Amino acid sequence: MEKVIGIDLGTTNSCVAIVENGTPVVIPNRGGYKTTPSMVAVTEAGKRLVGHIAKRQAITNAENTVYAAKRLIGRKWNSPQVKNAVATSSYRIVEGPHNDVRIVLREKDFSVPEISAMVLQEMKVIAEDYLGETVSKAVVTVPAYFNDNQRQATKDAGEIAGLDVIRIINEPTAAALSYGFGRNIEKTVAVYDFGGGTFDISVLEIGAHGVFKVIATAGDTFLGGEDIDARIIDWLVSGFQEENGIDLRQDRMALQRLKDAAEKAKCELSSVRETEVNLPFIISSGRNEALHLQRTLTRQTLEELSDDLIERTVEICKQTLEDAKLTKSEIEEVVLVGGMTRMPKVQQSVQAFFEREPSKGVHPDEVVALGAAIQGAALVDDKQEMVLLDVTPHALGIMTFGSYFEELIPQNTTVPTHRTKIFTTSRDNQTAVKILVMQGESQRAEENELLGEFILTGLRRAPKGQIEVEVTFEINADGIVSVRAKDLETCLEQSIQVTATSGLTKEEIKAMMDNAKDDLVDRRTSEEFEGAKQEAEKLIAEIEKLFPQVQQIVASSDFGRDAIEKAKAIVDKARAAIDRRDVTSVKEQIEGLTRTHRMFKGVVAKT
Amino acid sequence: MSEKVPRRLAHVILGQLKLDAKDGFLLTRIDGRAGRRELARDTGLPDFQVDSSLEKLERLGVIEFVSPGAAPRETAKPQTLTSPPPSARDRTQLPQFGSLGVDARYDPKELEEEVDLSAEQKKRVLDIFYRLDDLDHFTLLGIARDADKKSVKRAYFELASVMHPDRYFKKNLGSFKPKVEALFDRITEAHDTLVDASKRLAYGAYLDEVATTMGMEALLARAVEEAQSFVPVSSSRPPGAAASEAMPPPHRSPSNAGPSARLVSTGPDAHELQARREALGKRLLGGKSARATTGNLSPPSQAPSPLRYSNSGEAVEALRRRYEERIENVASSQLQRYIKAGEEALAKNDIVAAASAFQIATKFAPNDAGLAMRYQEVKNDADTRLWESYTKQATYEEENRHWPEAARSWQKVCKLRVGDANANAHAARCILRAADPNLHHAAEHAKCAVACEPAEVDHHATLAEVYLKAGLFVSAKKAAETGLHLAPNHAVLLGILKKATKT
Repeated sequence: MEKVIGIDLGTTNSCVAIVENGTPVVIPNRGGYKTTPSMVAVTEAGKRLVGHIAKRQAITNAENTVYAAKRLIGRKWNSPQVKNAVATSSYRIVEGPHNDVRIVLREKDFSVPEISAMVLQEMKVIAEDYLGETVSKAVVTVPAYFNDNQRQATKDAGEIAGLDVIRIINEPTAAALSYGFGRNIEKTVAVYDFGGGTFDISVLEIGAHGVFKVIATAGDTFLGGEDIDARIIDWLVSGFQEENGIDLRQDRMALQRLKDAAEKAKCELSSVRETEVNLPFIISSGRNEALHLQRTLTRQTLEELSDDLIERTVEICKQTLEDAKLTKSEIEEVVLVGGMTRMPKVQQSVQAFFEREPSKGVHPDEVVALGAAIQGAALVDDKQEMVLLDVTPHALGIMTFGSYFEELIPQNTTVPTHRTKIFTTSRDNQTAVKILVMQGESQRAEENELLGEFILTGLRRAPKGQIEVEVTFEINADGIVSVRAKDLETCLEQSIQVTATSGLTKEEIKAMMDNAKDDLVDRRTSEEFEGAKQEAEKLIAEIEKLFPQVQQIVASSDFGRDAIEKAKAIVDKARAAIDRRDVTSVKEQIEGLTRTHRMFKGVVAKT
Repeated sequence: MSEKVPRRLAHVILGQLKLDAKDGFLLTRIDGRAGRRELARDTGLPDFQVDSSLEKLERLGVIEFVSPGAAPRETAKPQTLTSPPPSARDRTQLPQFGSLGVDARYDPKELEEEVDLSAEQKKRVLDIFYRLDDLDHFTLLGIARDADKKSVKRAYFELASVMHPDRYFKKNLGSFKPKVEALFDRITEAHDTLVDASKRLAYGAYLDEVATTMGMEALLARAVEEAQSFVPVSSSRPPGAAASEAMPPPHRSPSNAGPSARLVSTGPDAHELQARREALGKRLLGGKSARATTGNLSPPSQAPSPLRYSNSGEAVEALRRRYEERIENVASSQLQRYIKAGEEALAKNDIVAAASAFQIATKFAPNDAGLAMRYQEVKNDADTRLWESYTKQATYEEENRHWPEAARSWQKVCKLRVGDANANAHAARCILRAADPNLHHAAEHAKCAVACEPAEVDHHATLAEVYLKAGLFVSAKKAAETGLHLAPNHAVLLGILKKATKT
């Protein structure tokens, strides 16, 4: 049976593991380290360096050393995250031909998957050295909150590196697999994964028969240790500017030294209360005079600098529990993953939020790779009794008339799955509909990620709302999304398999949406709306019938007048919703109408 | 040592079983606590009837006998007819997932496909896959209706560990692959519904609705059949049934009673019955057993002692009088019991049980016009309840796009209220949407909707659409034209007309 390695492709560090004789183990690199820096450099001689060697020469070769490439993978040139990286990175980031991102190293353009491929290849070699045989299959982890384009780009990176990525799994899920593997427990576990570049929170149920079921997952793909480093850099840079009037950011090498120093100081402050940042000869002043940077950073200052970032992670945890319909007390274990969880303030915040001391059972840097290896073994080895029930991290749906995003598969749905909804045409004599497949949580379609599109033609000419189109989304076990649209009248069908790309920009989407607007389907099925409308109108009629009577009875009291005003407002709102043909809103108003109607009847009955 | 008590097994499809009204009525009183004695008291049925019904129900797999639960019911209060409400949540002991039945619904050829699955695995997948439409979430997961969240999860995890497509990663599954995925999808739907309190509530309400309608259907339909069976067809009937055999069927309107309604109208008239009674009396005199058993309800009287009468005619007359008197006594006590049971059920809002009780009561007093009216009243209420119930069920199914189920439920609504135009239109449309539509039925319903509300243009459109789909272009054209008379600019109709004319 072929061996499958598990790779944690991290923002700052990567790690590779394998299951040997039923036990997952981390494979150390040639230097004996269990993690390898996710850094890539090209030397003056054109030689490629990966890992520790790349890191060691980073300061002297800052412009040609790439770090944190994961923050750019699968992103579009115009995204704010890329803009931010362009401003703060010591290497050059340029626009690629498909509005994607390219990194320039020694005058040569590299795509981000190419850079990540170098890291993956290094991990592959580490495993091959250890095993003494070639390895061609891998399970690679990504942040749970990565969208399909980012996942696809990661898969592409694997392919470039000569690896068949048999499955992409989420980092916190992998951590949970490693935590629960072979322990035969039934527990609800929260995995708090605060790494170098991303933050993820996942809630899982570990059950009998080796089943791991993800209940909810959320996160922020641009929130990690790098951001805390950036705060320290800002603090150092602004302090230096006040003192010397020089902006250190203008010097790429100085910036790289600052970055190193910031990371080092951050790590030190996990164990000591204060540390010295000492960077002699950081820059030359105008008069050819070298300047030094020397400052003391205390743990308290660091905590102040990073307070809002940590607070954000807690907010996301809170939201996730709400989404999962779980209370804190139902979480039976909290597992900490990622380098940032070594920071005392982070541990305290997590403990304070979950009201429970986090588990110390796993190694935060290795647990993800171990989980990936476990999943790899479970997939190819029949003897492994383990199955992972994963969820969709983002909602999937289509854009409907008015640039709304209509969800078909909600966030946190267990895959494989399929969902169907019926839509109607949005304008008279519409003969085609454009199905824009999107991913995201925003109600506004343009704020979500576009995954693909296709057109269903040959609809019968009819007034709007009369032609029904059935849209089906399907996600198979490999995470591949297919979308089908079917004209219910003629049974004509059109479908696509969504292959994620990193192609389009927001502007392009916007332009496309404007063009497509007229051809979009309406999310409201007329039948559903008619039903709600009838019910609402019936209630309105009854309320209005009772109105004069009620007014007479209660008008003398303040409370009564207030109630009447409220009732009027509810009726008006319901009418407006009916006029808008907004079925969701009408349904919402029905509740209020029912209450008002009941109250009115009560008032009349009493007298 | 306490006597074992009968308990209902969950999810038996009552509609498919041959139960009579008494069985059905008895079934509504079986709650897993009441024993034979209590059941006889609660239902007012004679002991032998209770025994034979229980036997039958056990044989059919509707009930089982178990030791009484931790809280056995008090056996006192013999005078009242209080009966605990039939408890839907009191069911444990469910059929296990793997053993759902004996009859295979798949084509054995499907087992021959060469895939990386054992024969056992193939069988299991096919077996469940073809039953998915009939299995509710509880049966699918193999858990009790009242199973707690933990049990739901455990059951789901166990199934998921064999049903998740990852278990067959990169294996050749052929046509089994989509089936395995469908199975996993369904068990996940079941799990997700049952662990979410509000979703579970809505689903439970739906299932209750299904169970109620099914129970009610069975109860009402069998009552009708029972009434029919009161006409003695041969003398080979057991003597124990003699007393009731002589009772004429209650008078009832055939309008709402489902498929067997039309059978009722051919009941024997009173004159004929009188003749039968006389014949029976003669038979009794002929030396055959005169033991007209009516059970232990009235103190069991001895068999008539050989009295001496001067002439045989007198003797016959006396015997007949005696026999009829006794029948009347029994009948009147039974009558009182059933009326009481009916009123009790009404007080508890169990309208269907009440209707059933009143119906049986009318058998004992066929000429009581007041009772007949009362029965009719309750029966109408019961039908309304059934109608409401099916409408709710159909709506839920339609909302969840279970087209064949929704179509079936709407059709039932239509049966209960022939003139329900809305239900007919829904039925037609749901049938059209189902995977393998019976266009003949769809047309019937669409026609019915049109007939009920000829002014509603949408009904014409539905009808025209059905015709078009069935390839009956002339009819489609005609229907469209009729509709266009009402609304000359109706776009759907214009479209259909164009299509129908073109082809």
